[in-house]
Amino acid sequence: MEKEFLKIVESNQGIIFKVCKLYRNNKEDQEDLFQEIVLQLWKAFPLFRKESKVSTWMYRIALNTAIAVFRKNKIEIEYNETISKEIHSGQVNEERLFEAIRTLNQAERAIVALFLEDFTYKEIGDITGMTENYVGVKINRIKEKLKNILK
Amino acid sequence: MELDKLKSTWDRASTGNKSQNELLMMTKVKNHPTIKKMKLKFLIEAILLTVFISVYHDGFDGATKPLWANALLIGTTFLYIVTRLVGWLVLINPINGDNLKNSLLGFLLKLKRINIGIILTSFLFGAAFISFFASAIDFTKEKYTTLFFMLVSLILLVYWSSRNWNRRIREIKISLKEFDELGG
Repeated sequence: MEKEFLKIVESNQGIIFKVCKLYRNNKEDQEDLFQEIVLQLWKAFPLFRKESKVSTWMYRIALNTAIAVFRKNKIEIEYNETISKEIHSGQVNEERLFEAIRTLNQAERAIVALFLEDFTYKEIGDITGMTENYVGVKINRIKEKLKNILK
Repeated sequence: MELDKLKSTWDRASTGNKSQNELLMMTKVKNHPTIKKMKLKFLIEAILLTVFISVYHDGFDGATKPLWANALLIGTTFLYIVTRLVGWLVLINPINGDNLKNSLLGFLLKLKRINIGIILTSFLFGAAFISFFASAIDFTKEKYTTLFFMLVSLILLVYWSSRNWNRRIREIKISLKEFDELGG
């Protein structure tokens, strides 16, 4: 079981990496969250039903862990204040994208991550616990928000 | 930035390069910095209280105090330790449902329960501690003043004990509200 788990996580670690960058502002916190997520995935692995997609399962656990575990708010506020300047002047890149998404609230970050990962509205609804219709409405609003932030 | 550009940036985003060995280390609680810190805090508290309970009878003349005061002190100390153990277990298991909303709801419920437990056991432990020392003394004005300050300390102890838990509860409530506003 351990080998199978490690293989799955190794080949899908990009999911954890992205969730950490979405929910934590600095390297140290991202590294701590990465470890926390791997531990939670390991604990949840015996209950993982193979009929669902690995990415669905990993996103569910990773997002849940990122939102539920204790974090330091102060840094986040300071960080958000500096984002807009960089966003308006800098070149389009990965950091800008993550910085922009981090200006959204916790739930919106989860939705946008799943949307960018090409999950269907139904799948996003299943993972978040929201109705399919609201996922659609929300995605449109988030798109608008991101457009304004990144223009 | 156009949205299709946003999508392609997302797809190209770095994906990490942890080896299987590194990942294996992360599956062990002993290698986990945050959980280790929480565990250490709990263990120190539990060991100090256990040592206190083992020596208090001789050290603080337990034999001269009423039986109920002794029993109350031992019982509430035990409850204090058990509640914190349960609290630690709750914190290291944040996944409580099959979707984000249900999981956060389940986690919030557990946090609320444990917070009540923490407040109650802190109060009971403090009250038992004060009762133990106050049970066999003749009160004078000075002693009443001391008792008053002990009660103030007890209230502060209860406040400090629940402060971090309240902060956790507040954060989960905010996240849930975000999901509720989204989900209607």
